[in-house]
Amino acid sequence: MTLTLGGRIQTRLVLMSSVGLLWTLAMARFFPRPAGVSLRLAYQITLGTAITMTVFGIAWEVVYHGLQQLRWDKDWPSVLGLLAGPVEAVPVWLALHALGIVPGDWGLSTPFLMLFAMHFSSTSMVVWLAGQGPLRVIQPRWRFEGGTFSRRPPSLTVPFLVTYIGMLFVLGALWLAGR
Amino acid sequence: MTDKLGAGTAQFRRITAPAAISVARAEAASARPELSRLLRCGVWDDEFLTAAGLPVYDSQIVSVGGGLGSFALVDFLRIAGLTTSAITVLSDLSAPYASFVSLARASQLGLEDRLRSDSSSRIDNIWGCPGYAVSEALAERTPAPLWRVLTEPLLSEYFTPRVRTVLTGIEREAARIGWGEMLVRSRAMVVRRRSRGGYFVLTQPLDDACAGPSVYRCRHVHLALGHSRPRLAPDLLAFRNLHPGASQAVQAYEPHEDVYRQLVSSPGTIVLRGSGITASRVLERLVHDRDALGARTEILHLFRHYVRGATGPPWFRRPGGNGFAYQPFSFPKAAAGGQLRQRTLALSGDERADLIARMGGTTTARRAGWQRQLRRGRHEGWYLAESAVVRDLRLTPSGRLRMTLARGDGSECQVDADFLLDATGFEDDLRHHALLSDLLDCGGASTSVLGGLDVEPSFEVRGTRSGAGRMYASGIASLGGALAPVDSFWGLTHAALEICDDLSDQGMCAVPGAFRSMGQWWRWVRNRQP
Repeated sequence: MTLTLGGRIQTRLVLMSSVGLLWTLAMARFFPRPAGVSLRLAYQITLGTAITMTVFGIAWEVVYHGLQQLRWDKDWPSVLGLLAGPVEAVPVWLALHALGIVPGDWGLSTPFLMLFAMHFSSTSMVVWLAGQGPLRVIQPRWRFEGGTFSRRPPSLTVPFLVTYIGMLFVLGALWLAGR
Repeated sequence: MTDKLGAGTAQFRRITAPAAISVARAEAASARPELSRLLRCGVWDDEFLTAAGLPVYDSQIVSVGGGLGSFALVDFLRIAGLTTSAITVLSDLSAPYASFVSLARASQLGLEDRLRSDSSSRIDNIWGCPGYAVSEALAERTPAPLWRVLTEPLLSEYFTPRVRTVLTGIEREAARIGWGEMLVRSRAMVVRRRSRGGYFVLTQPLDDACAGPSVYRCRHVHLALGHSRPRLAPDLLAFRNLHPGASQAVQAYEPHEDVYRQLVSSPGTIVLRGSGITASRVLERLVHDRDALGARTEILHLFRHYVRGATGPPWFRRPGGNGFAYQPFSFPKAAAGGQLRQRTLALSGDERADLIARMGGTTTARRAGWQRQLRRGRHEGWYLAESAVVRDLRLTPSGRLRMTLARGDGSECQVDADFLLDATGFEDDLRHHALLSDLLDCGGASTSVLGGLDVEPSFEVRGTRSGAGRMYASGIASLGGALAPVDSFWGLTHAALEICDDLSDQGMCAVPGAFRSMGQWWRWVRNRQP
């Protein structure tokens, strides 16, 4: 993949607020959660994880873009996108505890670890897969323009809707989960 | 498939003298005297043509060339909603891959050999999805291509598709988009502006020996003419003029199978010139013949610029060594669609030319198999690399080649060899192509710093607009524009996208937006017409 910095950030925002969000909403109830933990808390944790992944991801993209400068081809091999998952998981896990979204201790013995790990890894994988093929079909210009979404007006419609309506969904879902 | 590939395959012929740039015009004028009056005019009127008695055919857009450049654009236009009746392809090729196959064969690539192109740069699929790796995995029923494309380039070398995979895809897509309905077998001679907007393309039909020249009247015209001919170094040209018929010194893109045959039948020395991907493939063939057929060939490899190691600052450092500059593809990947493309787009003139030259140039891929072969050759003494150029080339009385080499350190030496194989690429001077030369003289076109046509980022040829009509150029003729790797599958597809966008702004076709794109992709998957 040959992404510009702007393309990296746009791609992450669009994919996380579409594929990542839908995956979270659809699958949160199926991930293993500790006994006695409500579905509402599970949704709070998984949606909180998705949003933190997105926000922290912007910073990660800046780091990846810097590393990309050391490559002659100035590209980002697909396998690196896949391997980035475990690296990005640790700060998100710590941040979720710091923000109080995941209750209790942040160590490996916490009962929420499996829920987090399943959600984080599967979401990362689904988002990565979407970038490997489906995104090229929906937005043919995406790969020609460094991962940015086209400057041409007709093509802006879909990413606009996905990004902003997706974000509204997140806020709405969080509000419902928190009631 | 093999039989079909054989038919209509273009082949570069042996070059003995500089091509006459006005051959086509002279031929046309001599065949029909009234044409000479027309050819003196830079802008044509419908009435001129009627008076000249030339048959005139109409088409919304004409693509001249009929190779992969035309194919990429026509594929895009068909997907963008144009019907076959709106498009005409003028070509002397019977299939869009004919020139490509010819070049592949000349550079020692068989159907099962691999190209220097990545998985997603599909010439037959505007989305690059699925990539060639997926197609190859399905066709060969093996996960190996998938593993390779997943782990490239960290755990394995870049996946590159087989020639067969590419040709199969083009053949399928050509049938799907109705290529045969749009193709007119003819030789385009000149393109002239029409006084009421649009263009005329003067052509000589090829399938009817009795037919005279005819004219295509169109609103837009697209030029994708490919390389004009292999580059012939002055010493090689002088040698041929001195010894007509001597076959000891050949260009790698000319037919030269005899060279390999003779080296297998009797031991000999070959001097190879060039450090690009074709030179690498020639070396692979020579070493293969040593290993598999028992040839005892000794190879002297001449480098004009001997690269001893990686070059450039840490943030722009190209690997190199043993004479070669290495990069997986002809340009860094980001020159196609990433940050280097954005830089090329932002620059202009000399700065852009300088960046393109630094990213491109003569390079080859660092493949483990080739490295092993040459390491063995150096160790066993049958492969020698020198930083030198040929100063003088002649035949000895015994029929061998004698050449004087000027080494990089300033010294000179004489070398006798059985063959000289020149793998220094193509002649890309627009003046060697009759139609493009005419365009520079009469059509308002000019050249870029790198010698290609001066084109806009939309690939419109600057200075050639005719009313509402626009002229576009893609492929090697657009070298020096806002896209660096123009002469590649990616470059041809990318150019097609930009041209299609520009045409959609003129209301000619629909921009393939998200929903149309998904629908068209599904039709591609099911092999249904666009």
